[in-house]
Amino acid sequence: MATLWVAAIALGMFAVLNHSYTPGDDSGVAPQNWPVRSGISVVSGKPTLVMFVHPKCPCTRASVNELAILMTRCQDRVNAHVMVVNPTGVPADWPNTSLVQSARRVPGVAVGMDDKGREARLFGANTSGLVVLYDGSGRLLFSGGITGARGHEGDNDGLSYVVGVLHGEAPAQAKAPAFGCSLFNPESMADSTNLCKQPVN
Amino acid sequence: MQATSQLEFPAATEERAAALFGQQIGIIRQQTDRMFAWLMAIQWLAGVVCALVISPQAWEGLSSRTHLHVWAAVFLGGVISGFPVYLAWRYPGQAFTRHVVAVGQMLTSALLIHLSGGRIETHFHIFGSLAFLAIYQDWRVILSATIVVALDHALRGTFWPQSVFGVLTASPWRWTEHAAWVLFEDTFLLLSIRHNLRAMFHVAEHQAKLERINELIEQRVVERTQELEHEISERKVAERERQMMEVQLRQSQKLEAIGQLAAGIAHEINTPTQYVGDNAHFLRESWDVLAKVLHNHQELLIALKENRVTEETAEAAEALLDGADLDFLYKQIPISISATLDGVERVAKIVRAMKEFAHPGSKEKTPADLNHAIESTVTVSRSEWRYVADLKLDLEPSLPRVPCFVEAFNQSVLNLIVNAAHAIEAAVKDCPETRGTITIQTRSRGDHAEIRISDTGTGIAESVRPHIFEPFFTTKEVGKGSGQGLSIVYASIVNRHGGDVTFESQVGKGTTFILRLPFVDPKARTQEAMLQALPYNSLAAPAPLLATADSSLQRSLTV
Repeated sequence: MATLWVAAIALGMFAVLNHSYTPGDDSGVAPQNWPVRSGISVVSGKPTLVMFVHPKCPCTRASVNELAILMTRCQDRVNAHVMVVNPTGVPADWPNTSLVQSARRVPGVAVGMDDKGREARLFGANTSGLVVLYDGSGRLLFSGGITGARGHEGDNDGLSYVVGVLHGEAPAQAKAPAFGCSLFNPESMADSTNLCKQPVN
Repeated sequence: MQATSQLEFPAATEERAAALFGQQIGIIRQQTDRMFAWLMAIQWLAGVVCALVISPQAWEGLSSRTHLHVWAAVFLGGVISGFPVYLAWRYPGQAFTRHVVAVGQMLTSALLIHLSGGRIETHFHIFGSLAFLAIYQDWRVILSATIVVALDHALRGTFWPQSVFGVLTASPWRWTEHAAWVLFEDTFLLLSIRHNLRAMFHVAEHQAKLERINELIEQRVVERTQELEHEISERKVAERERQMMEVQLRQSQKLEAIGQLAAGIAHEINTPTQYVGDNAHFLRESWDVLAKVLHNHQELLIALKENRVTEETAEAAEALLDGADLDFLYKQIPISISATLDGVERVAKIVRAMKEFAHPGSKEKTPADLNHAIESTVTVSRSEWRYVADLKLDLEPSLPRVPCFVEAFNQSVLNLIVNAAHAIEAAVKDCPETRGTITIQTRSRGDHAEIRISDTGTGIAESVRPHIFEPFFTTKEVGKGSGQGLSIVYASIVNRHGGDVTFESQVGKGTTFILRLPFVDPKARTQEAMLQALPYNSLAAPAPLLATADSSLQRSLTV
């Protein structure tokens, strides 16, 4: 009985852990250069960071909190945006969530609405919490998540890399898995893929 | 405490202490199992609620599904808590149960830490749980919990460090730091458990010793009770023997008194008997004379009818009448008859008094006419005082009956009359013509009857007054008193009747003994008082038992 109990718990824990460490959809590819069709404002000569979020994803709260940590360390070094993805057909109160409000409270971060997920598609973002970082000349420096697992805060490779780049340290990694909910429905992913695969120069 | 330290406690006491300790620790562990059953059920519910609030759904664009954390909280949390709750409910107090509880509680911590994203705050659940587990007062349980925590941190720290440490870059040995903090707390908990167990064992030892002391006390109480019962039994036997001897003594005293009185009583009876006899002789002789006269009268009457009366016959009849001295007979015969009847009545009275005095009496008090009892005793004792004193009775006719042992009362009055006569005899021995006076008075005095027996004798010297009621104390010459008279009076009036005896005496003038007998039996009065003390007593007020004490009708006799 006790053995069965331990086995059941081990199985359950494994399932939970496995879920936590399974990254989101990483099929999207961020353009190597800042897409000219993007409506996100940039500051010339200053790196720009954009995080795409699903307003209702519980796992993304950890990403926003990590962004807050990042901004406390690098606020004057980066032009940061949080784009709230609003797919087609969402109700008006779709973005009115505590997650978005938390993002608005992060110092130095501009929160914008990404209607129909246009910007997300431009930057190849399919997973909530995905961050893209471009340097002042529009060159891609980083694309990925800044948490180590779903909903888990704490030091991780993505965050360390972004902070390191913004402090002028030599880049060691240009990509990290993003953990979060899918920004789009599976059936609409094809459009996203097509969009991302379009030339963006 | 000094007394207990001097006691020797057998090995059984240590065994009892161990048993009490085991019993107490068993109760604590059962209660702790119950507590954890509730705690784990509540934790499970709280985990489900938190999951529903924090991460209810996972999203894919516009579509959503229940988040895995919710299912994990429901099912994995349910599995983790369910088995320990079941064991705690069904098998409380068993070692296996509390070890499963410890493991389950630590795994709950692990689940909560993971679901909270490895938040450092959630780690406090581990420390809180360890403190709760310490309530079991079993270091092995703390050890089990610690091993689970260490293994969890080691495994997850190795393969999924973010889930337990919140960072991906943690050192492979970081789990040892977490385990060390747990061991840090364990140190205090284990010390606390050790201290508590020692304290509990001391308490058990004290309790076992107290039980042993109680057993000894109870044993001694039983032994002492048996001894007391034996003593009481012996005393009851002795008391019965004493009472029997008292009865025999009283009877002996009475018989002795009767014996002493016998000569005087015989004389008292002899005197009327003598003149009854003399009168009877006179009446017989008178009858002989009267019979001759009547016979002659009959013959004379027949002769008259037959005309045979001669002058000689008439002269002979006349001579017979002259010789009979009829005038004398007419006068003396009625006197003789009256004197005879008086004598018979006197004898009858003495016999009646003797009979009443010598009556063995009853075992219970009976309402008695004290005046009548005094008159009987005075009659019986007449020969004791008549030569030296006059005896006056001043008896209250309306004196209510008094519950008493009549024979004991008679004996007391007799003793006091005899003492009074002896005192007067001593006082008048140098003046033979002088007579003393004995006065017996009865009165109602509130709740008791008062009998005063006064004499004009020598009085009682100051020096002997404190001793007069002591048995065998006497100032009389040898052969005249046994020294028991007044002690019997005291025992009778005070002990048997609940009354009182006092005396007033003036040397050379006389002594008055005052007897007081309650109208209501003191035993009955006590019972009545108890009844009246009862709340809401519905009993009617007792009817007045006492007759008026101011009756003007007093009887004064000189016997």
